[in-house]
Amino acid sequence: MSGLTPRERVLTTIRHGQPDRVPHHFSYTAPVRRKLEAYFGTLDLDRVLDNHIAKYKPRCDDFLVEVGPGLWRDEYGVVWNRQGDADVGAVANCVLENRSLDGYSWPDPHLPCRYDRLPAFIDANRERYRVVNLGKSLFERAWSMRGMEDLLIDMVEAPEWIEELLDAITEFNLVNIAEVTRFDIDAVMFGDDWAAQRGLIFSPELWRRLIKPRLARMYSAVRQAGKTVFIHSCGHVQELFPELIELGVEVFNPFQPEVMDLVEVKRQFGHQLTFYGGVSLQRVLPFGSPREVQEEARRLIDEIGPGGGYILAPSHDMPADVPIENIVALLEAVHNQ
Amino acid sequence: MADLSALTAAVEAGDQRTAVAVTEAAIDDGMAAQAILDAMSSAMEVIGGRFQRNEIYVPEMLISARAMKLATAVLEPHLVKAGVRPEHTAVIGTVAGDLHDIGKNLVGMMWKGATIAVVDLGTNVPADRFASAAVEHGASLVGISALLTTTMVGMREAVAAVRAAVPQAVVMVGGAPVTSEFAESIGADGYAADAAAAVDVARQLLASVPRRVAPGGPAIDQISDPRT
Repeated sequence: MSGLTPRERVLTTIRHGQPDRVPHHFSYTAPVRRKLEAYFGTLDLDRVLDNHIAKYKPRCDDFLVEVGPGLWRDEYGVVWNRQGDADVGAVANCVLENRSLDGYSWPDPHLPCRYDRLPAFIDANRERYRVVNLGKSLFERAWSMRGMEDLLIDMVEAPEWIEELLDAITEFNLVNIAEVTRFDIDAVMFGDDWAAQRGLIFSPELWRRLIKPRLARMYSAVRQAGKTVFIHSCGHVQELFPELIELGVEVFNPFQPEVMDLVEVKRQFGHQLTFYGGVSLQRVLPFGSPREVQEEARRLIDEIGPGGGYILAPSHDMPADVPIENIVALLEAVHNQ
Repeated sequence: MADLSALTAAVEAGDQRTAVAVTEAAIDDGMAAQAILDAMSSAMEVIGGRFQRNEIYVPEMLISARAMKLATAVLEPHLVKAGVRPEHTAVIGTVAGDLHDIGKNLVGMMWKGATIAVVDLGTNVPADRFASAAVEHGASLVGISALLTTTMVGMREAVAAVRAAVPQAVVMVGGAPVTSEFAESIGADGYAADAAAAVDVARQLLASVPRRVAPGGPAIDQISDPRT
């Protein structure tokens, strides 16, 4: 094995160079974290999983406050019902009942507690690729506050209001971006699901009018600071790839095999995008055997890995139905390249 | 006489004001309630086709469904007076442990658009609740939704409970991780990949099921949604 650190491996692959082996990152939900901690007998899962990426969220400890059994209110006022799903949950209230921000006060993006753990995070992850994760970075923040159905209707019927709302979210994120890019991090990862299993939730025209101009501002702020842009957007979103490339996105996650032909997507866009993900969480990881998991991982390493531009990962945080044996099999596969 | 093609056009365009106005005019003109309803459901059929061809997306579908909902509310007393009952009643919900409802809501809207009465049980619905609601409402169609692989497996129990309680009911499943193979493996009658396909599949499957509406069963627009 060569002397590349995990961070060097990720840097190489994002530059479309061929690292000594395909870098990987395994993320997990809370129930899987507990199972992994018990299996490996350690709390340092990044070490035993040999994770190549370290992620930091610019949030204070009171970002989420429990306001009832299984009900958690985030700093935007959105209450998440996490009964049965401890990691995300479903929105249980409506912060913006009307098409107006009147009377709404945004959380303070400058709060020092968002950023004061970044130096220690960086020190602890010198050898990993360091990413600041800005989840729910636009559309998702908006629908969590306004309600999905109302927001979608507003996008067609009241686009000026949606522009006002999305601008406010963008301004908040731009402060986050300015603060975190002063530190020695490698990338900022945005998260915004624009698609479902079969296609975009709203039209590409609406995406171009409402979403894209704001992405341009946020992504260029990251790039001007010399950092790399990651986007996580679930679902059948590939028709947006040319425009995401134009906006300066370099890494696309989750690279879901159920919604896109991974080999074809890599052939078409692999010289401009790095793909991060690829291991099915709807099929092989929860329902396959350890052997099938290894076969899928080997196929990805052989077919997507050549030429770089690939970080192997489950196509999302692994949920509770993924057996430990399959995670161990996946780890073996990435170590036996 | 009111122009029912204008009603169809208004629902297609999601123009709720015109949809309601034309419906009111048609009622005033003494037009048959069934014909007025048909004008709206044919619009929703067009909407479903456009959605499947990616000519429109979820927002436009929501807006058309809302226009039909408002116009149907105006029409409802006249449907009752004329003895027009939905041919079928559906019970729909998201499986136990799963709180996601957007896909389920879209299917419910499109089924209503196809003049199927829809009783929405909401999210996190236990298997036996699907069964008891199907019995209570005389449902000939049961729709079970799941977004997560972790909850999808609970659909098997829900399908079995409905089968035991209402053997003749058509059971359909859907949701992002669900496939037709999975649907078949758990004994469901049908699977649809999206809300528009859910109408086509339901129609095909219900064609072989006798009209079953319990006396005093729900009207077209009934919805028992825990959110409201």
